[in-house]
Order: sequence, then C-alpha cells, then structure tokens
Amino acid sequence: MNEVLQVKSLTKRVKQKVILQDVNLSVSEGEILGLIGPNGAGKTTLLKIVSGVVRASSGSVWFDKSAGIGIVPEQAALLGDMDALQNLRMLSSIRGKIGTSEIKQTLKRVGLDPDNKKAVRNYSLGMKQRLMLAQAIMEHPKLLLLDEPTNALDPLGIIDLRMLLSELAQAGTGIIIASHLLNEIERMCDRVAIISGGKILRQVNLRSTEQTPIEVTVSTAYDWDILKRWAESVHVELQKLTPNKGLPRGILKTKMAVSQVISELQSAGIAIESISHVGPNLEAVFLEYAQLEGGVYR
Amino acid sequence: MIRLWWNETLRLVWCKRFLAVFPAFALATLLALADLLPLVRAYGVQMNVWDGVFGTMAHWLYFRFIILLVFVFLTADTLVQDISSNWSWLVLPRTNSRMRWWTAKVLSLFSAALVYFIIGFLIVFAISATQLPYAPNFSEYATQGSSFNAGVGTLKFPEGANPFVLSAKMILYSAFSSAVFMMIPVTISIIVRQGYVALLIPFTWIFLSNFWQTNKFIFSIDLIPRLFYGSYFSSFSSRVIDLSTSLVYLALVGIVFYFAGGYMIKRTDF
Repeated sequence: MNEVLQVKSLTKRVKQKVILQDVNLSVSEGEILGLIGPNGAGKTTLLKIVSGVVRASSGSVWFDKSAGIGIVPEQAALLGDMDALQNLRMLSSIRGKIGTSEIKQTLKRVGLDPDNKKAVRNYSLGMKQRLMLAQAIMEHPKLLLLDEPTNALDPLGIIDLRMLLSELAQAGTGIIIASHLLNEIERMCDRVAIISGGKILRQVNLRSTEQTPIEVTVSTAYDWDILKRWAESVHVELQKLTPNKGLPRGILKTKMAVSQVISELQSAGIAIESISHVGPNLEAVFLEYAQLEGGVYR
Repeated sequence: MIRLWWNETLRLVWCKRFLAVFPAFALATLLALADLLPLVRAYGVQMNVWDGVFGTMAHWLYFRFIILLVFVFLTADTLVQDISSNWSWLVLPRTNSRMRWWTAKVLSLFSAALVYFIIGFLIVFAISATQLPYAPNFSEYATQGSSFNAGVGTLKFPEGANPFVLSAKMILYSAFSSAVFMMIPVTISIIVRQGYVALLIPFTWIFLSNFWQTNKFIFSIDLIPRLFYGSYFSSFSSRVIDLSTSLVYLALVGIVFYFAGGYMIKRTDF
C-alpha cells in the first residue's frame, strides 16, 4: 500500500532538552496508527511537527501536501462567538476546496445539526469535540492526526468516532491517534507505536495475520487427539495449555484466519468449545516498555 | 491570501469583545460634550456637530486614554490567543505558508482598526448630533480658535476645510497609526507568549508618554503623539511634529516590525 506519511530520523531539541530523538514512522493508506506513551513522551510534539506548526531540529517529514492534512488538537480550538457552520466556513475558506453544502454534510456526519445557530462557546465538551472532528475531515484529507480524540466524548460519541475512523480508513485515509486510552487504541488501531522519552520504543502490529496465535478449547480428550493429528498434517505448531475446567486447551501458531481454522476443525469432526485469536496484549507490552524507560508506570 | 486576511479580520471584529467599541466611543463623546456644552449654554458659543466629532476623536486625552486603550485591549493578544487556543494549529497547515499567515495577521490589524474607527465615528456623530446642530462646515469656534480651552478649542482647523473630507482623513489616519502601533506588541508577543505582556507594553507606553510629552525631543521621537490626527491641528504639537514626517515614521515602523515579525514567525514553534 502507498504510504501517506513518512517520518525519517526526526529529532527535536529545545535548548539542551531532547523532546524527540531519531523518530522513524510511516503510515500507509487506510492504516490507523496509535501513538501511546506517558505524559510528556513527545506524542503531541510529534503530531505538531508532522503538521508543520513546530519545526524539527533535524530529520524529515513527508506527506502529500496537496491532499491536505486534518488535525484534531487535544483542546478544542474554536471561535466561541461563532456558530458551528461559521467556524467551519472560516477554516474551509482558507483552502477554498469545499462549499457550504459539503460543510453541512460533514456536520451531519459527526452528529451535529448544521442549522444550529448556538454560539460554539455554549456547546458541551462532547459537541465541541465532534465539531473539531468535523473541521478535520471536511476537506477529505489523506492524512488525519488526532490528539486524544476521545477526550470529553460520551460512550456513544466514542462508538461514533470508532465507526467514523473505520469508514475513513476504508476510504484510504491514513490516521494517527495519540491517546492514553489503551483499550480504545487497541480497538481502533491497526498498529501501535509506543513512545517514551522522545523515542519510539516499539511498534506493535495489532492486526497481523502472520503467526497470530489462536487459542482453541475442545470438548474431550478424543477431540484433542484429532486436533493434534490435524495440526501435524497441516504443519501447524500446537502448544498444549493447562486444561480449562477439565477441557483440553492449546495454542495453534498459524497464519490461518480463525474462520478458516474453525471450518477445517469442524470438517475433521472436532468438537470446539471456544476459539479466538490471542493478539498482543497492548497493556502488557506498554507497561513492559514504560518500565524499561523508568516511566511513571513502574 | 485575501480569504486569510478576511478571516483574520472577522476573527478580530466578529466577537463579543469588539462590542467595547460602543461604550468606548460613547464615553469619549459624552466627556467631550460635557466640556463643550457648558460653553454653548453659558457663553452662547456657536458650535455644530463637527465640534462634537473632532472634539472627541481628535482630542489627545480621549483618543489616548479611551479610544486607543480600547483598541489595544481588542487586538493586543490576537496572536497569543491563536497559539494558546490551538487555533493556529488549525490555520497554519491550511495556509502552507507562515509568511502568508503573518501578512494576513498584520493586514487584519489595519482592517480591524478601520472598522473600529468607522463604527466609532458613526457613534460619535450620532451622539453629537443629539446635542449640537448639524452644519456642512466647521464652526467659527473650530476654525478661528478660541479663548475657551476646551474640546475643539485646543485645536485649530483650516478655514474652509471640509469636515467630511477631514473626517475621512482622520478615520484613515487613525486606523493606520493605531494598527502600526499595535504591530509592536503583537510582534513582541511572538516571542513573549503572554497575553498580559502584549497588553501591558502599549498600556504602559501610553501612560508614560503622557509624562514625557513636555520634553520637546522625546515628544518628537515618541510614537504616541503621532497616533492621533488632532496633533496636527494643535498649537503645541504641530510645532514639533507634522503629518508628512509622521506618515513616513509610521510607515517605517510598520515595515520594520512586519519584517521582524515575519523573520520570527518563520522560526517559532506554535
């Protein structure tokens, strides 16, 4: 897939303090990348450098400027005395790419009433956050940067956001989300970069189909024997786990999708009690790396 | 660029804070009329609406301590607000040029000042017209000078001067001079990211200038006396400063701060 963002050897120093150090990152079309890290790790600075409001000390940032960039800052940056439509009209007029009807459509898409004449200063935090999202996506950017986007959103708002981001990603938008909420990152993102002390410590692929372990529990010892034979026949490693409530259980290390494994096991006549992917545990990975860096999570 | 300029102007004038233009000019007019009307009533001095207009907007006291101070309050922290509210984070990536943004910002000071003085003029004219009769020309009090040292009495306008033309010149000049003056704190605020500093610099300057205006040399180099149009019709200041040198002086200050600001804005982090 084409990359919509490339960050190479990015370093940011303020006086003697290193804010970001040799950061390398890329985002592909339709990919959602999560940025997680403790406070002061450099997440917002990285987003600001990518969007051009903070200058890098060295290194490079590439993205297609003609395709634009959408930004949702952590704190709503709006003109309080104007209504939602006026705010978006002002911002869209800078590039002049879209008209009022598209702005209204975008407002509807994020769940706001385009005909609401209420001044934005009287909006709830959740409504302000939806409006911030609207200004970020209204010009159909190929790259979207979101800094703590779930802040102030109620559970319904978070679900809407998740669905919207998924739609945008399917349409080819590359998205970076900086957040503290590991659960949300895990649910929304394809890949996660753990950042601490200005360095990217590790990138975890959350949607990898390569050797993704599948945990399977079968009904009887007989089923387990058939499972073992099936695994040998298809050259899949099977690791036995402690039985769960007496039910035989194991991990299959395979590239196959869960649906395919289910279909094959059923064809082999194996009675399955439960089956699921065992993805990387983001919280465990994050804590491990945060501790390595001597972070506040130790 | 024009859209950006329009946006920045709207940002300055389309807000609740800008409503301060109404009480500011109304207060200045009422104070000026409080000086003038007793002369009409007690001594029968013939005055007209233009005495009220120029006695308010061209008078150093009301201009400096009400009209200019309120304009400072309206515009000084424009850049600091953009940065602290993250608005600049939404605007800058859309412009793709920091210099274009800075140019729009500077131009918006001029256009906002023009709006401010046009609205101000209308307020002053309307209030004055309720107390003084309308006339197409300046009154004798305004052109002949007077022993009554109040309002327009401290100034002397050329005989036969058209008050409409002079009003237009006054509005344009006041807008230009005030915007140039405000470029100084706004430029400084690129480095000092505190709204109160951007406010304090012009506030302090305006007050201090009042104390050192008796010194002829300081008066001649100080920017403040050159900001209000009435200076060129005052018996004291017109001997020290004149309109043409002030225009050059203000233009130079504007150019210097435009380029200094542009240099800083290219190198700053938002």
